[in-house]
Amino acid sequence: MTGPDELPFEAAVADSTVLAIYRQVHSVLARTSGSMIDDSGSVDIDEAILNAFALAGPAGLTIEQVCAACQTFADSVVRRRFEVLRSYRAVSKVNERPNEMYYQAAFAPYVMLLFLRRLSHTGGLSELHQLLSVARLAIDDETTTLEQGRDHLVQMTTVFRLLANPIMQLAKSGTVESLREQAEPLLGNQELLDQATAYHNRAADIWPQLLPECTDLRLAVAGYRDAVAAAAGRLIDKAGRTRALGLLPAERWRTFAREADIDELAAAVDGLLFDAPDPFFTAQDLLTAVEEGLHTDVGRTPPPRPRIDDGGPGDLPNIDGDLRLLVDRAEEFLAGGDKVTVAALLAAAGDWPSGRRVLSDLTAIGLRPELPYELTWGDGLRVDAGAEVTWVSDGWLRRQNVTVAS
Amino acid sequence: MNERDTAVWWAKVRSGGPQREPAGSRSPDGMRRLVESDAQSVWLLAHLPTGAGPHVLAEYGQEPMTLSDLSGTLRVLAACLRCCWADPAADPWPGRLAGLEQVDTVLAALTPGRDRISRRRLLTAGLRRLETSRWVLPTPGHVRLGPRVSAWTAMDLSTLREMWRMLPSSDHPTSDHLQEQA
Repeated sequence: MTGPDELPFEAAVADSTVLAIYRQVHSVLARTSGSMIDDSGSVDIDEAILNAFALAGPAGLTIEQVCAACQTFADSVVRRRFEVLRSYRAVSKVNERPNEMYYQAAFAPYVMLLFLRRLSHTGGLSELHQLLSVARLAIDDETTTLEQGRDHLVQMTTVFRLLANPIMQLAKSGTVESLREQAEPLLGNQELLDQATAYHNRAADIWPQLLPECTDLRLAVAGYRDAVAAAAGRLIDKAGRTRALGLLPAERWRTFAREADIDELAAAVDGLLFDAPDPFFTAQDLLTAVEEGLHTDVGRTPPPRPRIDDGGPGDLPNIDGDLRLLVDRAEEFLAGGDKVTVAALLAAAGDWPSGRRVLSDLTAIGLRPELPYELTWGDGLRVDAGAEVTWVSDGWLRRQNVTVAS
Repeated sequence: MNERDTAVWWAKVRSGGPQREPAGSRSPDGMRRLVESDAQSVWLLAHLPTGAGPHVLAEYGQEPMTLSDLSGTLRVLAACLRCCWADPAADPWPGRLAGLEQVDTVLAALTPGRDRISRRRLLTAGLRRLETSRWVLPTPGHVRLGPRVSAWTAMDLSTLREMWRMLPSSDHPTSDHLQEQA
């Protein structure tokens, strides 16, 4: 649109008329001046007000009469909506003069309201069908000019693009839940596509000079078809084997089952008859089970046991090889006696490496309380600078039972 | 009994299994009446033609209703049959009362390798599963056959008689003795 200053006077008047209708139409959407309605209650109030005007006849109504006619709603609410409608000029004074009490209503807001209702129910697809039919009929109409035909083509292209974009967006990147909720009203049917194709073909036949616009329309329709196919494919993928697109997600069922009370749950299965859980056993089943049971191999494999021969408590616990080695070593140290000093053993060992082995054996013997030997250490210290082992603590290896006896 | 009552009865039997009614009640169309041994009450069962019973599932290759530990449950039922079916020449219904100890003895032969506690557990669980569909009617300490055993055909019964003879009898206190106690 060019700037207003360039417009001739008639064009400016025509534009302002369009603007006035536009404002009237949108008055039913406006809650307070500037913001849109977000509940259907306000729409109901608008409808009641417009109904009251329709019944009132040409004389019009005062604001008090409107309030009286809309008694189902609160007085203040009706007044507020009335002000909104007036500010959008959906309701105007019968005579434009100060202190005029009577108002009259325009018809455009009510038509818009009807459209809104329908659109909210059907998602606009039936309107699209009608638009397509009108455009299709307009092609064959003698009076339709080339310009009008082009406008129709461009409108249809825009409609299909707007229709396809959100579906494609949902199919590509939306969650499946939102796709399921939002896409179903948007999903078209083959009829719509056929109708659009027929319209396109006819327009291309009649107006060859409009082929660029026709191409745009064809592309838009193809895009819509692709978007619907993608969305449907994704939905079917997620719907699983049942292909039941209308099924609620499992989470919804679970939430319902958790939150519903007994009456609601009972109402959900009202009128349904469930078969009793009655497994049927044929005689053959019974016989098979019994025969299997009778011929089951009784021999149970014993649980695994450790692989050591349990000789019972002997005089010497010869449970593992280490102990036996230690016993042999101790007897070797004691050499038949009952007591031997560590110093003598070290001296017998000779050099330090073998002495170290003797010491470690002695310590190991002393640390096994189950062996009948005892290693005790005294306070004495023997120092011999010349020997291989320069100093030795006092220590004895004793045979235990002998020590107790003595 | 009009059509509506009949429909209600069929719905009851279909959803709740065999229904027990006082002896004087009228029976709806297509139902079988099984008189209890004391003749004080009757069981109403759906009398289905052979082509419409549970056999149809197998005929069409459908999965039967799943039951946990099917073979164990079947063995429990077999043990009950052995103990409660006094005379295999006659029909199993109504049968006689049998003590759980007897059933347990027979069950021991069917489930070798089980110790006493796990066999007891199997017996309790099996009886509970069988009771929900009225194959058996357990009372504390005792058990008797339920009305559903009358659903077996004559051919089934001959197989079952064979099975009856295969099973060892319970040498424990006789059922007559127990019945006197009960």
